[in-house]
Amino acid sequence: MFDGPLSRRQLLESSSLGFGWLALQSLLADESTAARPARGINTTVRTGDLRSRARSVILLNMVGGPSHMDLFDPKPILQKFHGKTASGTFETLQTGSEAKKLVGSPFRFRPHGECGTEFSSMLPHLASKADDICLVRSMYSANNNHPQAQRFLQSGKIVPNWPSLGAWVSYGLGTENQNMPAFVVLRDPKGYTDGGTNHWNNGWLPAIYRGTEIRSEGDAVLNLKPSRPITPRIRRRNLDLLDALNNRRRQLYPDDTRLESRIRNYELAARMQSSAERLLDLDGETRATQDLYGLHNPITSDFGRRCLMARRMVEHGVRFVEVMVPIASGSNPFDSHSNLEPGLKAVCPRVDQPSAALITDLKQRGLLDSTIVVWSGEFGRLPISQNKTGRDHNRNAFGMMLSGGGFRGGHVHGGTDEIGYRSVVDPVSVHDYHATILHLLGIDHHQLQFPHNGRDERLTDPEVTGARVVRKLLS
Amino acid sequence: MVLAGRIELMRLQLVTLVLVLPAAASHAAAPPRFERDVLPILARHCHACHGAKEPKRDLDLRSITSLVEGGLSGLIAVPGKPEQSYLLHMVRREAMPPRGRKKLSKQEIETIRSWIVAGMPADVPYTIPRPRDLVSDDDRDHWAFRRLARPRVPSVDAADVVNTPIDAFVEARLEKAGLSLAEPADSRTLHRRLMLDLLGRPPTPAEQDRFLADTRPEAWASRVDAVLSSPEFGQRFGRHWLDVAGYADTVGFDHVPTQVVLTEGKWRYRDYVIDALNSDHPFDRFLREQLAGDEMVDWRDAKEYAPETVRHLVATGFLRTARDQTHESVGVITPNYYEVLFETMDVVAGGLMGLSVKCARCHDHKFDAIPQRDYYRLMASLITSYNPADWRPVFRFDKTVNERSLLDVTETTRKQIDADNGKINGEIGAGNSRIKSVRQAARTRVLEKKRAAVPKAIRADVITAIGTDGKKRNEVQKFLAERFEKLLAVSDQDTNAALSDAERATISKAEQEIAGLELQKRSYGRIQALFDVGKAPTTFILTRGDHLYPAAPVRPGYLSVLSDTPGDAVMQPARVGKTSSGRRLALARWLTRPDTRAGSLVTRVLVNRFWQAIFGRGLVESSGDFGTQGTPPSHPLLLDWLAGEFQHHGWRAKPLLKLVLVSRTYRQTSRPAPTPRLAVARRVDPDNRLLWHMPVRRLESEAIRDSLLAVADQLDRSLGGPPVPQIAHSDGSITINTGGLKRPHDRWRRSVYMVTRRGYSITLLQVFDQPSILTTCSHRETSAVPLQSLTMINGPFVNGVASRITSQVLETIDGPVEGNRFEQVIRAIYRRTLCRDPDAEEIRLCRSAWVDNRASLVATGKPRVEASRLAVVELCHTLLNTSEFLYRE
Repeated sequence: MFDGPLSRRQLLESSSLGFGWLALQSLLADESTAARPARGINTTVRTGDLRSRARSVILLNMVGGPSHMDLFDPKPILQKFHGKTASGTFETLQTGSEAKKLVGSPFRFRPHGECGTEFSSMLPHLASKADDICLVRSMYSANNNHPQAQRFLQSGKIVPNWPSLGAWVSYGLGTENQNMPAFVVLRDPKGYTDGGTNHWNNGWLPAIYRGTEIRSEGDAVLNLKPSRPITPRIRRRNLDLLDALNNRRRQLYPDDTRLESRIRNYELAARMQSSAERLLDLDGETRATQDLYGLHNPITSDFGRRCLMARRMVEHGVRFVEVMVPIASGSNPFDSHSNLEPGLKAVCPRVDQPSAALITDLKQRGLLDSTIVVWSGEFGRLPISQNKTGRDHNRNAFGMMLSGGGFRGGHVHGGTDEIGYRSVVDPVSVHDYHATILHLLGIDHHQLQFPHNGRDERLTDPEVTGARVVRKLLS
Repeated sequence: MVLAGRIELMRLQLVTLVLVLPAAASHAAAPPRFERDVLPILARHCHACHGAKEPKRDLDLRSITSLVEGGLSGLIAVPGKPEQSYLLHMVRREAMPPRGRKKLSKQEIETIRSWIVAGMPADVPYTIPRPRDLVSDDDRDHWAFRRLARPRVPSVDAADVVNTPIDAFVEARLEKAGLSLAEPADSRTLHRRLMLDLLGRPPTPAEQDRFLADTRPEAWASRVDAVLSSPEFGQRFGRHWLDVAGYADTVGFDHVPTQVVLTEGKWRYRDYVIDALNSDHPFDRFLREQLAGDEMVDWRDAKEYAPETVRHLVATGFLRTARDQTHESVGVITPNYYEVLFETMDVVAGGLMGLSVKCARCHDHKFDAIPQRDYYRLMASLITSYNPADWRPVFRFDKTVNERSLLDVTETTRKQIDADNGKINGEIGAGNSRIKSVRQAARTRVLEKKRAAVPKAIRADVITAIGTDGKKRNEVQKFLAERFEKLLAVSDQDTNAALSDAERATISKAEQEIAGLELQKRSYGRIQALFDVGKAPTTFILTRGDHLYPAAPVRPGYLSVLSDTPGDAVMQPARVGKTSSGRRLALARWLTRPDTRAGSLVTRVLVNRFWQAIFGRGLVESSGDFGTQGTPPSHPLLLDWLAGEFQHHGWRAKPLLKLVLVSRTYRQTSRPAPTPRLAVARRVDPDNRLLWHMPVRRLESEAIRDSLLAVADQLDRSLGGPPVPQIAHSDGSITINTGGLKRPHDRWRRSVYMVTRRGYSITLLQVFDQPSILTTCSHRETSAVPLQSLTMINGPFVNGVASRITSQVLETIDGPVEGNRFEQVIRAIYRRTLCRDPDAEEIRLCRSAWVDNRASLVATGKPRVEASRLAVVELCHTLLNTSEFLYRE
């Protein structure tokens, strides 16, 4: 039935849920057919290494702009000159920082682990994982405002509706699990953070690569359960009838692989109903694991649940899980414009233990080697005070924690200037971060591309952005 | 031969200057001269690169003649215009000489500046040459840029399969490959196909029966005419054009699910498009109105707007689809102005010319012959309206700015309407007070009567107590008020009951008068139009697309690759009235002139879009890219023939569509009988590019929702008006906001009237690939993702449709669903949903599922009759989920 080369190609493309771009390249590599027209998946490029170490990514998205000099980038000089007026100019977003008074961190720093990486007292649990964490202190962004900078972190573009890293990764690798989407988003069930669903946008990549929101409360996936009361038996009987009718029709159109793919989708939808529920059922986890994530502590239970779900997802072959910051202490909890100390004291305990637990748990299960954990916000904060008790946005410097998947544990990369205003030592751009993640997943960022409006678009656009793989971060 | 305009004129002045200057040279403050003063500076700093054997960027600065020749960046110095001189910009901002080399001194820069100001005097007479032709004749010879060929209709072996010339072109290609058109599809299939393609919904059983009963030979052609003249045609084909325009109802980036920011009257452009399609408005006019409607009617000085004036102004909404965020005070920055210009360029070039030009924003296009200069020449047509020097945001966020919209009436009319309405309001007020006084009188009578019932001894005290403010009453008054307040209260009903017949008549007469007066009131709204504002700024080539780095100035013009000679690429706009540059009108005319390269390209792009709308794929598959990176046409001769026919029929869509729809090519079956030839076809053309059968395709998002509503007999087909609002729920789903509807049945309106957002459509549309609207959208992707299946099998919407169909079908059945009556039911449901009768096997499959489900329902405790009915709902639900329902065939 699929004897011609193009038919086989069509078949492979239509099963894109399972076959990522990378696998497709390898499968089609032996075919002599010329490049297909610039629509769908560009098959002219062949690259990639399927034997790479990392297979999935968990992004703990700390929306709001965590203050690097209060969490993991100690600046003793700020302490020393606390309250003194700084010289030079500072790029601010809002008003309130005109006095340019330097402000030292209210939190104490001390070295942790064998590597001796310094963390503040706000992240004791993550600090205890210092030897598993590759800390980049020299990140910088391109925009000083949340939505733009978040989009930049996600897609490398300030403008909306470009595909996010998660979409690119699922396009590049596909999923290993036929029962789950490749790109899953776990957000706070209470609502969206600033930027809404744009964080997990597929942009102009096919809709299949959009992040699927799986909720940690109530129905896991939109319309996962029937809106009318029917028994599983009726549900099954309906699917059987549907299958019979669709199969009869498929025989009438043997050339159309899309029909096949639709039939399989109904089956997948049916399987998702049970598999998503199973993935969500955390009762099967041991009490020790539950306690590790803080599931029985009201402060940590929400983010803990979602971190644990993330582990279960990657365990079951999901490629990219994005866990959004908890919004119990504000919709932008790290956005410390006027409440630096109380704000961080409210949010850090919610995320610290679960984030660390995720690293511990993955490592115990031998999954940390194949899973990249990213802990990052969209930008950092200023060394000077805003409204006396806060710090304004700072796109020129922020920190990012990377763990597992081939990142070098116990390593500190780069640095900011002495007051933490600007990344000056070995700066790492967001595009570099994207290139490095793709590299660890076995994808060459130069090659991963998708035709859009007459141009082969790439996540990193290296000729324009200068993106490169930061080898110093790799073990 | 056409001279290159103003620059040429300058040259003439310059020659005069050059001749005059030697005489004035003895003057003390003599201006710098090229050879004496400027050349040494250039030699010192520039000749290392721009004087060598192969001068960088093709710019040679060793003589005045080579300097004015310019380089790849165009003319670098304009006599007398320092602000337009790239040379000066570059040395001033130290971009040249490049990093690491010595910069020019202030004195040296000043010498160059004053030399330019003085008109660039030189010892050698020179002329400024015409702008260089940066495009070659080879570039112009790309298939899409040629003038339309008038291909002869080919002859074919199987003449019996040829109904129309279209068939001859298709069959000729097929025969070359040893193939042939497939046999015709049956009438039922064909009619459903026609309805889905043209109206975006399946036929009702009645429509289907009526068509099948028509046995005349001309039945098909007359049905095609009838369907083309349905107002639903515009609602569907209008949507195709709205994709091209990148239309969204919302303002700005529209990136927060719960925030829908609309602007008054933007939807009128959507209605303009639908009306234009329905009235078969000629497309050349249609395009001209959308680019320059404001320059085609006199509205600036008009005392009153005719409906045509308003229509023309609304049409320019085509140029108002870019994501403009300058209505937010933080967005009012120049880079954002240019973003709006750039996005509008994408719509104009991509939508109308099928060219992706955005590369040329920053540099010459890598693949297509679009120099950066041409990009900015084209942009010069838009910059007079999107004027960075006189920016108009979408909303007026403070008093100092004017918004970018117009009233739909003139100032004179507005004043008149306000005055008239004021007068009418006065009369209404008088009527209301007449009613009030009559009712007051009646009320007083009731009150008197009630008061009379209070014992006389305390009557006065009670009245005083009630009349006293609640807080100021003493204990006695409190007691009295509590006892009597209710008793003495006069309700509206009490008053109504007390009205005399005469009073009633008075009130009713006044009310009628008021209703009549309300009808006399007139209102006005806004038009989101585009029109020239302020003084036309100079357009510069922007280095790397950055407005902070202007390079050479350009004159308004067209794409060189679509012009026969460099001179043809220069625009000669005629001013329109006192204030409008006429540039957009010139552009619009250039694009729609038959027998030109541009007109030919535009026509090809248009007919290809029609073909795509019918077959799901264009003859040029990359319908938004006719450049060298796009796909060449599968049937180049047919494309040109169709384009020619389109122009021949006055650029009207309906005659062209009819040609296609009556062709055998369109009427062939989608599943050819298994013959040896079929095996060959599958081998040599597995992708069906040659059209050996009708392609199958999934319905677009809107067609799926509209079809579901149609088979439930609920689809509201009314035309026009503001968009139907949506609401984003906390679970991530988006639905119609039923609380915000003007009329309850608005929830069943066709999908084209749902509020169109950049990235957030109602969930049902979203999961079926409603596109994210960035700029123009030439092709919809169709994906198959599990969320679609989940939405279809579990979502409440489809469930409602299944229940409704069941109730309607069961109403026509005499008695409960049992035994033989089941077959009646299943036949009725098949006809409704899939427009055909089930075959015996399907009846068997359905009956068996129905029996099983009924048994399951009985087992859950449902009474048997109810279980029978619910099992039919399940059946109906399953049929709506079949591929057959979701696909055109």
